Amino acid sequence: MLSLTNANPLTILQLLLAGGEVTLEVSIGSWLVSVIAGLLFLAFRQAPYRPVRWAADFVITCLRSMPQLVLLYLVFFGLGGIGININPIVSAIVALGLTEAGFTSEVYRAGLLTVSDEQREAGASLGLGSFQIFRLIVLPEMVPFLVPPLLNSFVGLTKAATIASAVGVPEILYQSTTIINETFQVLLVSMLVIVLYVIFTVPLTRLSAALELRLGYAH
Amino acid sequence: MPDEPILEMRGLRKTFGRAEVVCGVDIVVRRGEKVCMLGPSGSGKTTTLRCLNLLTEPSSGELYFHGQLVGRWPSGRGSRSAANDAQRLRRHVSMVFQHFGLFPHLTALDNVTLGPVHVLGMNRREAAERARALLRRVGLEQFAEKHPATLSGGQRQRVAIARAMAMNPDVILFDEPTSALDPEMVGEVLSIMEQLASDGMTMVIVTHETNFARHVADRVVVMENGVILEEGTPVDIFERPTQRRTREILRARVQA
Amino acid sequence: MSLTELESWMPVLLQGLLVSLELTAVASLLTFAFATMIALLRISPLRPIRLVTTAFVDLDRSVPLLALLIFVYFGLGKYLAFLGLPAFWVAVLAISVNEAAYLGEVYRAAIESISQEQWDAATSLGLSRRQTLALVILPQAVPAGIPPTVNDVIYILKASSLASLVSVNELTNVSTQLVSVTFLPMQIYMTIGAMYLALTVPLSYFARWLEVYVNRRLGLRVPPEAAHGAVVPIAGATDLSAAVSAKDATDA
Ligand SMILES: Nc1ncnc2c1ncn2[C@@H]1O[C@H](COP(=O)(O)OP(=O)(O)OP(=O)(O)O)[C@@H](O)[C@H]1O
Ligand SMILES: [Mg+2]
Repeated sequence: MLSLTNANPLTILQLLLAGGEVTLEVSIGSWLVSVIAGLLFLAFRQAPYRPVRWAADFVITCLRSMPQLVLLYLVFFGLGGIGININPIVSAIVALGLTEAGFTSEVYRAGLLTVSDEQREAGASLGLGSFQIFRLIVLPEMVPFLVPPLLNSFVGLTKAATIASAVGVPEILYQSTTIINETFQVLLVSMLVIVLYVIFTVPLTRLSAALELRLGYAH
Repeated sequence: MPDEPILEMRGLRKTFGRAEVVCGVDIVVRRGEKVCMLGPSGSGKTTTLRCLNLLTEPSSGELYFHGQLVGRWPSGRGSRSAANDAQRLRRHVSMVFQHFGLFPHLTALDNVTLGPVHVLGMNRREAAERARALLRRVGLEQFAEKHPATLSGGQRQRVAIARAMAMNPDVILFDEPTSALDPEMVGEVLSIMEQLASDGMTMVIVTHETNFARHVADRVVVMENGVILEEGTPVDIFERPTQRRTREILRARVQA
Repeated sequence: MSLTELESWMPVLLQGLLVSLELTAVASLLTFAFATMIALLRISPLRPIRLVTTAFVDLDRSVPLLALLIFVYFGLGKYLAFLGLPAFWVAVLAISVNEAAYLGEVYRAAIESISQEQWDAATSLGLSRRQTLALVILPQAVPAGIPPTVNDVIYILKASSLASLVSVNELTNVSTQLVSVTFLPMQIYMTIGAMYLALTVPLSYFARWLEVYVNRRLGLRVPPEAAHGAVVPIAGATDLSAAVSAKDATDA
């Protein structure tokens, strides 16, 4: 266990990086939840029944309109209050993943729209079945369009993961407040956290923008 | 003084990156003169024209307005004073664009009054009155309150011409004013320009309309590859060009 | 939860909601102002200004809002308190500075969607750069910027809940206090969740409607030759979202 009483920058950095690992766990977890839940939402949104579509649309809008912190409290404290105890990390993954899923399903929907009906008809005219058309034509054509927004979504989640600190998840911000409380080194700690975030997110954001440009759909 | 030079460009060169697209052009525009510029696509006509009101900054050359030096490039001067000079020059040198360049959020009338009000400092009432008179001249008085999107291409270009005239300019520069128009609308715009020409306006016109050039121009300038190939009266250029290339270019135009 | 219970919480919650709304209103206004400044600096003719602004935007966008809130609170809180500025203003500042980076980029995209030809036409009339912006470019860019601005208000209202973590007595904070005395987290968080949604959901449907409406109006304005088979430029949007709103327009 590292002692903070005579903390030097290196010790602090190590503690922050340990928090960074938890941040990654939370963000990767919630990203996976959003990618999968987004697909389910999409399925409901494409349902053949209008009321189902409307309901799906409403649920997605609610998830996107709810403060992430309140949803996290609902999952962690709310469910806990009625006897369903979920650990803080899982709560954060679920809450952040679900809010993000609303956005992700929108990304999928837009991706579907980038594949023209002509492409589908061309597939059909080759005698392909509808699942084959989806697997062989629609999916490969839309995947490149999904990559940049899904990458952005992941970057967003690494930042949103700080919210998990509110239920005691020892991610990077939680670590930094602990360190600040013991060492009072606000400036040093906050600079380190900010630098870590810049180093991690700027290249990913740039990459996503570059991919977007290559697709030729950025203005 | 009918021969007084209004605009004079000496030794104009313009490079974009590594490509030199105008390579040493001299142009003098005298009072009341109509100069038509012809040449194949990419020959540097637009670039030359845009250098005349400094929408594009020359890479090298000298520009005179009424015999006064406006700028010399490459310039070592502060960019702010150069920008001010350019802005002052443009009060007197108007431009009409291929794609009209009307402001879509303003009515035809407001398009015409914008310059007089905000650049010349005219009061709104007077500017509107003059604008209405100009719109009447181009046959569009009843469209004064319409937005550009609701006008046809020919009508838009006529509004654009009225807007240029509203500045009371010494010269109007036209960059292929009819190239973006449906064929049936070309006539209405050309006839406005002819009328303007016969009123004595000084005009520099980049155009592919050889017939128009033939009977409106005082001087025709033929460009290719960033240089002036040949220059002279319409009769010289169209009837007895000295360059074989000129004849080929003009023949290609007539057929196109 | 019984109705009487709910009734007894309501005054406290409404008090908190009022603070949330105040926070949102002030932070939104500041965000618009900062964002406009950022957008204008980002298109400055002076390269050093553009570079510095770009670097600032990159930095700002990398920092999680909650981290910024907590660092400002820890770092400047006591000085601000000394100046008579309570945590409320720490939250206002952190939220608007953080959010302005995003909205500023949206505004910049809206400005840059106006064609070079409009600049040329205005310049050729002798208008200065400032006049061109004010009279020609911005009036055309504003419509495209309105729907994202409404969306931003929603975002800021949601973000305001984070202010509870730096001791601002807004809705989320008062409800947490209420939970600590009633031990009814599910009921109370459900209630405030519903309160947030009652504000944000209608706003978000409104923003969507507005986007479709604005796009249609902009579509009308684009001269036919420019609109020829082209996607109407939408501020800050990739073609993906353009495609979606176009789809929404046809569905409606
Ligand atoms: N802003 C610019 N950046 C880079 N290259 C340019 C730019 N403007 C023009 N050019 C290039 O300069 C050359 C001359 O262009 P210009 O528009 O002056 O020709 P033009 O004679 O008007 O042709 P057209 O008849 O097609 O209008 C072209 O090759 C063009 O691609
Ligand atoms: Mg041209």
